[in-house]
Amino acid sequence: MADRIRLVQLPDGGRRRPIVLLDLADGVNYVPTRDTWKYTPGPKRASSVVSDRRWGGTRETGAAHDNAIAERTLNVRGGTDPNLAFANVETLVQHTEDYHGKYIEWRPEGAARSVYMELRGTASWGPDYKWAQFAGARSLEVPIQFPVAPLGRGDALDYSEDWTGATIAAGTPDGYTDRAGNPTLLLPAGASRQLVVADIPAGWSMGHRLGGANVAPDNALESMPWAFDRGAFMLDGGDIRLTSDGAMVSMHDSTLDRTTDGTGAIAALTLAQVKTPRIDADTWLAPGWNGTYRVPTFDEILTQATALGAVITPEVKDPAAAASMVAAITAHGMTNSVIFQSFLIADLAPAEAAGMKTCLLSDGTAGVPTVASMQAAGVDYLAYSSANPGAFTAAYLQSVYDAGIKLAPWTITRISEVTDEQTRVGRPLAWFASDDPMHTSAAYTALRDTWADGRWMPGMRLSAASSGYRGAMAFGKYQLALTGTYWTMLGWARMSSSFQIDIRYDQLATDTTRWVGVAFGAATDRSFHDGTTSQESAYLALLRESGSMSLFKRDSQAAGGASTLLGGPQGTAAIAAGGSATLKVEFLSSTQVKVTRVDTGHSITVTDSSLRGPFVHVGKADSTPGLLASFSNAIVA
Amino acid sequence: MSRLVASAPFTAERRLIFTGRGYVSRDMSQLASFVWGSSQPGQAAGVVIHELDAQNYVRAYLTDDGTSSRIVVQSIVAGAVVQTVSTALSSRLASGQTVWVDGRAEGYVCTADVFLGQPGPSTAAAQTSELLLSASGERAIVDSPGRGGIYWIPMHPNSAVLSWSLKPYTFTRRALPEAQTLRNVPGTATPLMDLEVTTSGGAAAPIFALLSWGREPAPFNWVWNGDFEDDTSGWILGSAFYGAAATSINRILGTAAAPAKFGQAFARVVAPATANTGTHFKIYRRFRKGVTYTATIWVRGNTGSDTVFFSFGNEAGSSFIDAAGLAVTPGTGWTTVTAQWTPTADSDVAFLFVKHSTATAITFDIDVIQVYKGTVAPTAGLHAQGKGAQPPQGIIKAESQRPADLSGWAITADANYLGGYGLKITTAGAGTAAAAWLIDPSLVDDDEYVPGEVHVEVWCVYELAATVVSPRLVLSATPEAGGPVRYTGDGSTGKALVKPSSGTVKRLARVGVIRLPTADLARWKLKLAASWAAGSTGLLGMDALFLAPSRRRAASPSGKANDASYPRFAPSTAEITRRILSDLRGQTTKEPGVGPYADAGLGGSVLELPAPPAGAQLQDIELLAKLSSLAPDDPSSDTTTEQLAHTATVHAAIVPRYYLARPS
Repeated sequence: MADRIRLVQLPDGGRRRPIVLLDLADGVNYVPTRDTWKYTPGPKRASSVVSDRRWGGTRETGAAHDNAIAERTLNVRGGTDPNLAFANVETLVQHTEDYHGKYIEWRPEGAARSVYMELRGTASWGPDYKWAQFAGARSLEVPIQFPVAPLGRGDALDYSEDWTGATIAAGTPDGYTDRAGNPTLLLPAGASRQLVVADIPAGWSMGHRLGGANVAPDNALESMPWAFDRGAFMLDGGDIRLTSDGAMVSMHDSTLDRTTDGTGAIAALTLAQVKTPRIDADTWLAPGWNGTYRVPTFDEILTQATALGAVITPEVKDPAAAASMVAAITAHGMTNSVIFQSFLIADLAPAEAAGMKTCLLSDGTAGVPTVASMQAAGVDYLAYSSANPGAFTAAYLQSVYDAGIKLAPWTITRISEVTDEQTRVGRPLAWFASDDPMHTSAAYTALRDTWADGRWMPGMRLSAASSGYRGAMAFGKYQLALTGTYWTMLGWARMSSSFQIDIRYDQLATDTTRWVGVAFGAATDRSFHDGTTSQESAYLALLRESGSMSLFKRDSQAAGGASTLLGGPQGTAAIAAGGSATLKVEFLSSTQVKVTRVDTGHSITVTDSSLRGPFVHVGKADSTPGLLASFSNAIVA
Repeated sequence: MSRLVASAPFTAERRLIFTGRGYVSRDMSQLASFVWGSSQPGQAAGVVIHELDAQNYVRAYLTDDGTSSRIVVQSIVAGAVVQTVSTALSSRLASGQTVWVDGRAEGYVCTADVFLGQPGPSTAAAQTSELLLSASGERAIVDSPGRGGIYWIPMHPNSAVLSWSLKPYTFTRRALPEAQTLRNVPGTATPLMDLEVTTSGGAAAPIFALLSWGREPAPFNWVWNGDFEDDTSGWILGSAFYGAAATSINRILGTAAAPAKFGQAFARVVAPATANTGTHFKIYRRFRKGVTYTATIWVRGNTGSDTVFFSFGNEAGSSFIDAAGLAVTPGTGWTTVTAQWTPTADSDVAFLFVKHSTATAITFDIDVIQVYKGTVAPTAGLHAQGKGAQPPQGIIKAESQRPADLSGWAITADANYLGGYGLKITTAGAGTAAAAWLIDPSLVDDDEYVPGEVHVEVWCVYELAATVVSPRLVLSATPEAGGPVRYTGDGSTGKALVKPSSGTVKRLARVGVIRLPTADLARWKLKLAASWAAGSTGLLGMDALFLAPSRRRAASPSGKANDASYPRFAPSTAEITRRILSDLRGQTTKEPGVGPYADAGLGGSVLELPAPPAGAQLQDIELLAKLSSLAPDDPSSDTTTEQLAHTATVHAAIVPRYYLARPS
């Protein structure tokens, strides 16, 4: 870094960046000669009152200062071109002829601010031409004197920035530092946000089945913006099959039966027939997904991905579609925004030829693909089933990775599973298919439930011991509507100080000791269960039908998943069928935990500092005839 | 338009601290605009209001909690969140929506405004959150100059930062007149100042402006009778909100056995056997929300033993501080107690209520009572010994006079007077009225080339009935200890006041310029004497005085008719920004992006702030802004009354200057 010496204009009183007319220390055409900077203040002309007393002298009543002189000797250069050196001298002089509104900016090396000297007249100059110097280095010394205002001024304190017309280079914009004072923030240029594969961070989630099948309708076009808007900007690009009339549509299964109100094999139906039935996700996922969704074509998926700017990973389900898929991707300008997938290595060839990233899928049931075969085909990623560690051993995956093929396991829906798989494999994961990408990668959190829209919120996962029943969504509430003991994690609710929820006891058990509870303080998003199968430790606040309230600690590490009563039982009002209660759990401090039945005011406060994790679960324990419960109005703090 | 966009990881906090110009500032206002990238919770878009370092800062930002969009102000000390104020917007922001966040610190008040359209300086926010910094660690952040910048968690690739601007010294949507402090103005030579005043609303357009500036006066005592050397004038027994009346308060001459703390006399409070009985002193001066004020009192026991303490707070008792109690017993010496009050709302009257705590009859002595702005006690002898006085710069409310000098007029509550009080008299025949205010000229700077003196231009708002005959005002100044009287150019006959054609109205008048000595460490009395002739009926009131060093002020014309030729400061009640450049040229901007157009400037002195004292590179400046809906001394006799206040945003755009560009 050297001194900054520039000829500038200060637009709008200096509130924007200076307009640089000529950089007099650019190190190329103009190089200030060291130790020649000189500033000579102008003389002062004082006006005085003269005393008429013999020794009275005069008293100053005003003063004006003449302009000062700022002078510098510049080494003006022209590279190898003597004409350019000559022209650079003339440019310098030319600028000083029209001096109005121009300033000399000077910022000594290491200084944080500049001083601007307003030009008050044309400069005096005299090139010191030396034949030997010009002939050898194409340069000459030009001492130049600028008449400047008596006071130097600084930049205005006001500053405005709209980056209009600016080319924003990667890194922190000029004049800013990050929170630690470092000049790096990785802000790339350009306004276009069509993401490319290289934008996707390592270990990122891909929204499986167009959005994340755990929370958004399987292979519905509408899942894409819903998930993208919630932070999932790497999405599945569809399971692409051909209809009987050759159209490319997206459907995971070979038939319409599971996800639509229609029936029949895709391959046997025309596009029009495939487009007729509705994806009735309101019947098999959540009532809020009650639109008129139709099976999407691949073209519709590409159009949507382009509109969003998303990266997609379309999969060939019908080998006959591979070449057409590549052509469609190319036509949409998505070549760099696609990872092209297939279970068949041969399907990847047209994509490879078109310069796309390719990914070989494998479930390992028929053996694992050889590294050599993948290398020969130019495969970029191996998407393997993480549910089959017997086939995809750590040693095998390491050999794949070490051969330059990146790893992309499927399907993962918990953050803890990512960590576990990473640890098992011992190599970085490039990305992974997730049925809940908002939860696994973007860390979706909310301070209130949005159950009013009748849809799942990201991060709602059933317990491993819930026999596959994850509860049901209704408009405004989440229900555990089956008899039995069930737990569900509310992954969107990351509690730091408190969590409150309304519980409706929709149906009572005959055993009034049955209860509904909130588990909290869990450090990870592993499965929680009020039993020996719990994978995670948590506090458990429960309210029995009898009104008895207790606070336990479930320690997953202790033998048998030991449960310790920390506080209670505290008697409160008994629950009637259809009656409600509001439970609030709080970390009062690093040492105290409190549970309150808000609607009656009863509370339990205990001293315990062992658990302070953010994850919250809701659940119930019952016996036949069973306790049914629903939850609403969750508030997180 | 180009924009800043983020690359992954999008969940990472992006804090861009502005370092481009090398300055650090105190009160800053920042406006940033963003594209709201998605409806994803956890995203943040806002500004760093004030950052000392990476671990100590205040931020204002928009976020989303999953259900609502919220505007948040948060203080962070040593890396941990200390306070959060979060307010939900009426409707949740949509993906792709452009939003503006204005974050600013004024004293200890940190405010975040969110706008859903391009805002002007006076545009009302769609939603606001406000945080009063209260913990010492929080306050330490804004007590030192710091930097501003952008706070952003994009969460999504569609998020973008569109613009950002920084404007130190912005006072948003204030009810003028007001005197504001520009803290830590940089520069070794006379900084240039462009003043932007954006007016909006009200019943009448502010056609007149008076702007005045000067170095922030040194700390001074706001209690003009805290020494009791002459009497106990100004001290009143009991208080509606702070406690019942003591039996008496009397001036006592010190003796060898019981000396005064300073000087010759002190006050003795006789308190009955009733808890919380005492005496109070009213301070009629504006106490700003978010600014700390300190009160100090010396106490000594005389008879009986109890705990003596004081309450210091606003008139309504809704915001106050109780000082720690002092145990007093006979025979003990003077002890002191200090407490600091940071109002939670602006207050125009403060109470200092000294009392004892239990139902024990005692007598106790008090002396050397001080109230001052900030936490640095006045050091000038007068003020340090309890003699308070106001600087001859800024606003002096009429009711802050010394009762011993009051004649004719009486303090009267009136919501249409500045601060809710004024001096009023109903005339009946010929008569006079007078009031005097204790001022300390040494608190302000000399005029340039006139060592030891300052010329102060005095303006006042008065209320006058058309039925008062030949009303006149005489302004004079005399040393408190007595001496020659100084008058304005109008001399002892004073200035004739313009009357309305009918009714009773308020008007603004330029009373005149008076010369005051700055070298004497003595209090002066600034006196206004009113007179009226036989046949008078109706009201003559005095609301407030506006004092502007005459060589450090700029103003619209006075003494002219408010007709088509009058250069109106703001011609309507719509949002209009008037910019007065440092060379007194004027510009007008009618709405964001429209203008500025050349417009009438002001008369007076160029807007150059004083150079800081030798050796200093920073200084505090006090800026007075007074607007009026009337032309002062308008000779036309109409029935229009002056609007009490005008809501305006005032911004001082400072360009520092330096004596010398340092030679190499």
